[in-house]
Amino acid sequence: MRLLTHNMLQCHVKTCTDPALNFPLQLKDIELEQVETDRNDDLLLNLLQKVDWNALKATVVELGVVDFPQEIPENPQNDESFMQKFHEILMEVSPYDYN
Amino acid sequence: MSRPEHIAPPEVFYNDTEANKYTSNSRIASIQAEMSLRALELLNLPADQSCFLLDIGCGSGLSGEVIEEEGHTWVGLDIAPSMLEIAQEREVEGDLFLHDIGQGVGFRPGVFDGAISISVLQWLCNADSSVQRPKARLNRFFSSLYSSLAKGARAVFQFYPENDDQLDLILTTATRCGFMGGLVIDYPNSKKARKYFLCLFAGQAAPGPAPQLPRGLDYEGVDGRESSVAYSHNRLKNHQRRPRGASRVPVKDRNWVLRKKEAARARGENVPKDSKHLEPSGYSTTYATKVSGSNQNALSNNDQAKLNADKVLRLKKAWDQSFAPAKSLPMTLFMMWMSGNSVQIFNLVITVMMFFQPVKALLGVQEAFKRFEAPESTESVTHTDINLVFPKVVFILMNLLQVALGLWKCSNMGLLPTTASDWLAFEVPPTPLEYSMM
Repeated sequence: MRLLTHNMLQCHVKTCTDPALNFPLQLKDIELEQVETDRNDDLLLNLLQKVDWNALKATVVELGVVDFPQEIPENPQNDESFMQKFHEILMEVSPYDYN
Repeated sequence: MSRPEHIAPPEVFYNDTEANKYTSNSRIASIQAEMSLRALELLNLPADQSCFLLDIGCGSGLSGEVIEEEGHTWVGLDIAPSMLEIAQEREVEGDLFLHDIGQGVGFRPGVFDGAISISVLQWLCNADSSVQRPKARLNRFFSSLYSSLAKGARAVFQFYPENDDQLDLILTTATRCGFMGGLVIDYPNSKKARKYFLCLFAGQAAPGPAPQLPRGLDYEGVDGRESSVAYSHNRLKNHQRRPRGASRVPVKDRNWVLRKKEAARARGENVPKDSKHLEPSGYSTTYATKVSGSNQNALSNNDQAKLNADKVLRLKKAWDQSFAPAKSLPMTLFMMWMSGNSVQIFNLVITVMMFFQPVKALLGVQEAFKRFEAPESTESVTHTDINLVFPKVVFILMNLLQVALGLWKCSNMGLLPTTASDWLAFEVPPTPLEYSMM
């Protein structure tokens, strides 16, 4: 599962409605895997509006990735290094259940 | 056809064998791909933009592959583990979730640009265990889906409704959960090709007119084939109604009147003429028919005048005919003078021709004047028809004149036995009055 999808998931238990608790889901018993995919800037810009940036940052910290940008730059489409990093984290890093 | 949702719950029905069959069968795969493409089309995604889509009931990823080909990213949900295993083996790009959609979809609000679902919704309408209530499950599913879709996004469900109640249940539940839209039916007239697409709109992206429900495909729009005969009354109507401004066509028109008059004439009734105008001389149908009828003596003055005019004309033509041989006389004389009196072949031919023509004419006098006689039908009634005797006599005289000319020519050439030397054989030698003896 890509971090993108993880970022979109929330607890769907009916009674779990507290926004502080139902998102983001905690990752347990996982290992990281890098899946090479083609970069699609168009898609990334679209997703940039949908991704919860703070949750993504928290997840990245939890996974131990250090060199992740703290803020979204003003013109992300012009920032090559940011786009590459964003792509790697969002589309390529795939945590999976090692059980 | 038996419905799989009646056989077992989806996670049981789509076991390893069924899942294998589903994916390896090229026919199923092509139908699934076709329907996925149509569903994507109905999603009406913005052109040239990669979108983030949800595939509800992704199964082995057949529909997901179509989404990938279109350049979008997807996340799939399915309840059957065997199907998902195959999807994983096939290394589809989308993330897969083993998930019962009856318990709602667990995504944050507004994350998806669209959702498609192929052959799934009918499974939700069945209670597979005693605790399940289809209506509640549908409600949960639609409400959670509504929230996870972006504003103005669409969700397209291809499904096989079992009956009208099921359709009604799905539609009312979706509407209650906030969706707009409705049912799009492709090829509604074909039982085999008919496909139901539930096309739902999650709100409106921008204020304006409400989104229009797409039109279902039909054969007319695809390849010109007609699925049924177009039925209309127009042709009949057009046939009966005359165009605006056109004059009325009477039922009893001229032909009808003429037909009636003809019938009356056949019965021997006194019928007015068809035309107020005089008929041309020589044209005899009217009086021919009239005089042959019972009312011979009822000839009007008009007819009498016409008869007289006809007579005068015929007489004139007869005299023309009688003087016709004379017209060639000057030419004949000229040729006689030119050819001279010597006995040559050219001379002889001209002379023979001079005899041949008048003799032929003389033999056919009656024939030559036959056409000037009154028509046969009137012969018996018209006692005072034209007298052709004088023209005939003149005709004969003229021809005889030609013969005389020929004879004169012959005599000039010395061909006529007119001298004593021509008759020597009959010449009786003169009897001597006395013999002198020596």
